Amino acid sequence: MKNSTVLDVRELECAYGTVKVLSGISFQLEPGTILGIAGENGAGKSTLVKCICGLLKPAAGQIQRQVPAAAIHQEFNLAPDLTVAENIFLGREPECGSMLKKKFMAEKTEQLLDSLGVSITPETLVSALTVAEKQMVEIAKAVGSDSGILIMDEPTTVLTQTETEKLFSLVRALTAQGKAVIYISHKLDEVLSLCSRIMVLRDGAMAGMYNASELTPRLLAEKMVGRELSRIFPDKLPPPAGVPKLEVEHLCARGVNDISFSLHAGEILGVAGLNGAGRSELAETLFGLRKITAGTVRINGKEIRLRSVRDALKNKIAFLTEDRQGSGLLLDFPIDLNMTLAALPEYKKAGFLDFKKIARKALQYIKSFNLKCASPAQAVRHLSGGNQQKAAIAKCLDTAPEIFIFDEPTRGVDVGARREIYDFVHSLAGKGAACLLISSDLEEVLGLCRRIMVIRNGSCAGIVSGEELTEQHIIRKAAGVEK
Amino acid sequence: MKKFIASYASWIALLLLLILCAATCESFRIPANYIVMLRQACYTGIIAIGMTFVIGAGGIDLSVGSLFALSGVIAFKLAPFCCTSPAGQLLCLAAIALAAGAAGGALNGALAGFAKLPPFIVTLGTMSIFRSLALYLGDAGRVSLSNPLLTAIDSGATLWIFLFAGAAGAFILSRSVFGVRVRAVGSNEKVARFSGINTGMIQFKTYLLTGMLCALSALLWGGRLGGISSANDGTGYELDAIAAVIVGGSSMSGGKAAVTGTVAGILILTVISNALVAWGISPRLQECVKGAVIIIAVLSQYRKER
Repeated sequence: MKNSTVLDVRELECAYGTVKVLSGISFQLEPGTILGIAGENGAGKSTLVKCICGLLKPAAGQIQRQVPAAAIHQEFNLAPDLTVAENIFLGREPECGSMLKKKFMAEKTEQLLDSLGVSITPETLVSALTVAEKQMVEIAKAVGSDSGILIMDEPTTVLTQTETEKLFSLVRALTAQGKAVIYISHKLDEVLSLCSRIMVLRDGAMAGMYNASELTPRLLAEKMVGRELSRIFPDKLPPPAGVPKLEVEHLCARGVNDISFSLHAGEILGVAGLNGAGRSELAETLFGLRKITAGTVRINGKEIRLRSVRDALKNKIAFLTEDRQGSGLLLDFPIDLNMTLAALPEYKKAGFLDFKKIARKALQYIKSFNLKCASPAQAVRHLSGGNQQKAAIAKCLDTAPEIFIFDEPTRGVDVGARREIYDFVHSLAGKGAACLLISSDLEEVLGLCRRIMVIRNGSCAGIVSGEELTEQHIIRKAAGVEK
Repeated sequence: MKKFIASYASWIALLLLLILCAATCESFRIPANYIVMLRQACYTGIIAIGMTFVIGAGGIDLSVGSLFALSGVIAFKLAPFCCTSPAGQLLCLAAIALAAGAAGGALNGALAGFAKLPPFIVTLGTMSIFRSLALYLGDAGRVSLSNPLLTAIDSGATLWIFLFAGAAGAFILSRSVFGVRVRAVGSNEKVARFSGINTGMIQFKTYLLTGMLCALSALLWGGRLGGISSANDGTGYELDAIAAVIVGGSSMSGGKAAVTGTVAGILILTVISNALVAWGISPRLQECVKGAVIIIAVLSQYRKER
């Protein structure tokens, strides 16, 4: 006899130490359905996933699973030095005697990746993959585990539109086979188009369970935040005039191929392109992290030397990295030291650091960014994604930059904090900073920028402005369909 | 309260250990013995201070014991040729030792910091290079120097130098720009690099500092005994210094490091080895107990982080 529910969660409560992160969560999951979970960062989505998978012990309540669950977590769980096939079969290696069935593994892996529309050879080392490919392997690993419940926590953050669509059709095919899927994403239109039911989490509690048909993206966003939302993008800034602040000419570096553009003070120049097109590579080159092999960079009409991060900082360039946990913040360091790390010598008194001054400055940032934390001495690790991002922005701001490069500033950030970040970028440019906004979220660059540079294969595929500023136009340029 | 215990764990452990020892052994009730123990702790203690910086920046230095011997041998061998007056000779001795220590540290630092080779391998290599050079220069024996002023370097002065170096090291690591950068590099080198920190230079400086502290320690040791043994002196110091850092609560992977903890760590190790003697336990078991203490220290840290 087949059970009608595969997962039954009742009055679930979960706590980290004394802080309650989840309470009063109850829901059922039926085979062949997709449940969406929406909520702001820090609402408890990832914690819920960990509870369901058994990685966290709930403080109270019950979780009854009829079938095993496989999860794609927000962070990668791949062994970089093993091959794609070895990773996909990690922990459940097919054996013949005590020998690995290599051929079987390779075939099965190829099949799985094919169904996702990815062409990676099973023998490739995971460390050689791009971020998007790693994500695909992660998905294949979960799908391949043949579990009755599949949990996907923000699987599409690093994927392009086409990759996302492939994933969706796979998910639909899996549910048709009777699998149950829990899908978590901050991209509301994705959740709405894919899921039949949507659970909204707010501050660790259930704010409601809705049928997808009764919601619109806007309505869903409102349910998540718990108040009515006004427009998310601020009014566009007036077009800048005068001489450009930053002029880049025929810039070449590893992954950057002959890029030229100019950026004015008070302007937000968008940078769009597919994943791996070379956007972050351009940012890293402008921040002195990649060796410039040809071309020039001028600031205020004067050519500058750009051989190290220190050169960049000296020229008042700041860089908000796309990977705040890997290259932006020291997770075990307190908030205040993180915020002041790039401009540490400014906080010297008689040769040593003035920790009171550091804490005071941090408090200022915490207040002006509305950053939620216990104290400036709290370790960054314990902050939610949105609050971590605010700390990372404060860190960049502390070097008093005039040119600000944002790389995916709202990745993994919830609606509320996203709006605050847009307002911040806007006001920064309004005060005369020159901003470069790299983003995979086209809505974002279209909402904030008057000019958008499209990058393809490390080169500039064109700078779009005026009436050409449409999503379609940019996608076609990024894909190389249109010259 | 919990936080207090966590940040002074090694000092509390030392205190409990001393209470236990005083309760069980006569010799731990004689104040003068504590001075003796402190003096024993000085030589590896000075090196362990530098090791805290190296480990704090995410590195490791296995060559300290060999560099201790090498810088001592070079200085004691060359000093008589430089100057004949006792005072001048003493100055030359110090200058040569520190220069040799700095050179050895700079070699480690250049390879690990700038060339980005794994520090474990680099210092494993220099460990045998330095020891072999010391043996060669010292003919595998003692290099002595008779200088009436050497008695000025008695163990009293050594103790004060150790305490001063400990205080200065603690202050620099916790409260200076350099100290924070050392810990930032150890915590996440990529983040440090993205923050405009010259990570290679920071690592280089930690090895340089440690090299010079090895030389200082060798100077004090050789000064007290009138010479350095190229074959025996400094052997095993690397393990004692690393053990002190770990027992002191610093993280082996870098980022979290405190010199005050290291000082407590070296005292704990010294007290234990004295207590073993006082309790009549075979000296052959000394290393066994020391090893167990290190493992327990790491285990307690690991538990805390879970």
